Amino acid sequence: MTPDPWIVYGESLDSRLFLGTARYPSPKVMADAIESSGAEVLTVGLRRQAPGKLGGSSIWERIAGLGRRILPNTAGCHTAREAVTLAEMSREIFDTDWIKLEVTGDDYNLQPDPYGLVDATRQLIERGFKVFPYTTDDLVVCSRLRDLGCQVIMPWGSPIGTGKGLLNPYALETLRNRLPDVSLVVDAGIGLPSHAARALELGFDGVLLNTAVARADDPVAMATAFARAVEAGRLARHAGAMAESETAQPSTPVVGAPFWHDKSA
Amino acid sequence: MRLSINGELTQLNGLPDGSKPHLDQVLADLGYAGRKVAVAVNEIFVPRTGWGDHVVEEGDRLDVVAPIQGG
Repeated sequence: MTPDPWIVYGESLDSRLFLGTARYPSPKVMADAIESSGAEVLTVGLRRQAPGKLGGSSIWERIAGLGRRILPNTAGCHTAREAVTLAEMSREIFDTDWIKLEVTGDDYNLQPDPYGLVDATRQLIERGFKVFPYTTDDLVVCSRLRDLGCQVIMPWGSPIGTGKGLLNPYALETLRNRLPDVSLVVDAGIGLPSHAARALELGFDGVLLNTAVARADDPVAMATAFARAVEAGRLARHAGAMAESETAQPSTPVVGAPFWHDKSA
Repeated sequence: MRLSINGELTQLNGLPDGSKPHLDQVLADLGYAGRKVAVAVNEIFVPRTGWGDHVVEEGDRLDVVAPIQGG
C-alpha cells in the first residue's frame, strides 16, 4: 500500500487507529495489544490520587515507556468548568496540549452535552489547546466545533462501551460530506473490526476504541484484526466502491450462454 | 486548619506562627512530595510552578490527580 500519512494537528501519523489503555486483563496484555495494533496515539485519564500511595504511577510508567503519543481525556466531567480545569491539569501532567474533550450530559448512556462541549472547546482553544471533542453525530454541533477551530472532531458511533457499532451511518456520512476539511474520527461504540472498516469506508479518517480490544477473549489478536480492518476500510475508500443496484446484475456475461434458444424461431 | 482533600474533610496542623501555609507545604504534609500529580484548588488549576506562592485558606477544596488508564 502506498504511504498514506494522516496529518493530525500538524503531526504525521501512519496508523488511523487510536487505542485506549483501560480495561485490559493485565499491563502486559495491554502493552502487547498496543504493539500489535500499530496505534501511535493512546488515550489516558486522570483520577484523584490518595496521599502517600503510588496509585497508577506504575501503569503510567508502562504506558509512557511505549513511546506513543498521548491523548489525555476529560472523562467524568459534567460541566465546561470541570473539563477546562481537568484539561489544564492534563497538560501539565502529560506535557501535551492535545486533549480528548469529554463533557457528559447524561449518565445513562454517557451522551455528550453539546452545550458544555462547545463552551469548553472555545475556552480551551483560547488557552492554546488542540481539542479532540467527543460529540454526538449532530451536524450543527460538529459545525460549531469546526468553526471554533477544531481540526479533529470525534462523533460517537454508539454509546461508550456498548459495542453496537455505527447506529446512524446516514448522520456520519452527512458529517463527512458537510465537513470535508476536518479530520473525523468515530469515537465510542465500535465493537467489531467490521464497524471500524465501515467507518473508514464512509470516509472517516480514523477510529478510537478501547473496550472492543481490551475485553476481547484475545486482546492481542483482536488488536491485529482492528489494524487490518482500518487499513482495509481506508484502502476501500480510496479504491471507490461500486454503485449499488436494486436488481440483480449478472457477473458472468450473458451473451453466449448455453442452452438458450430463440423461442420465436 | 480544615481542608477538603479529594472530597474528604481533613484536619491539618497550622503553622507555629499562625500564618497560612502555601500549597507546596500542604501537599508535602499530605505525602504528595515528589509525586506525579496535578492540583486544583476550589476547582481552579494551580500549576506546579505556582505551588510555592499559593496561599491555602481554611475550607479550601483540593483536588489532587494522577495518571490512570483511560479510553
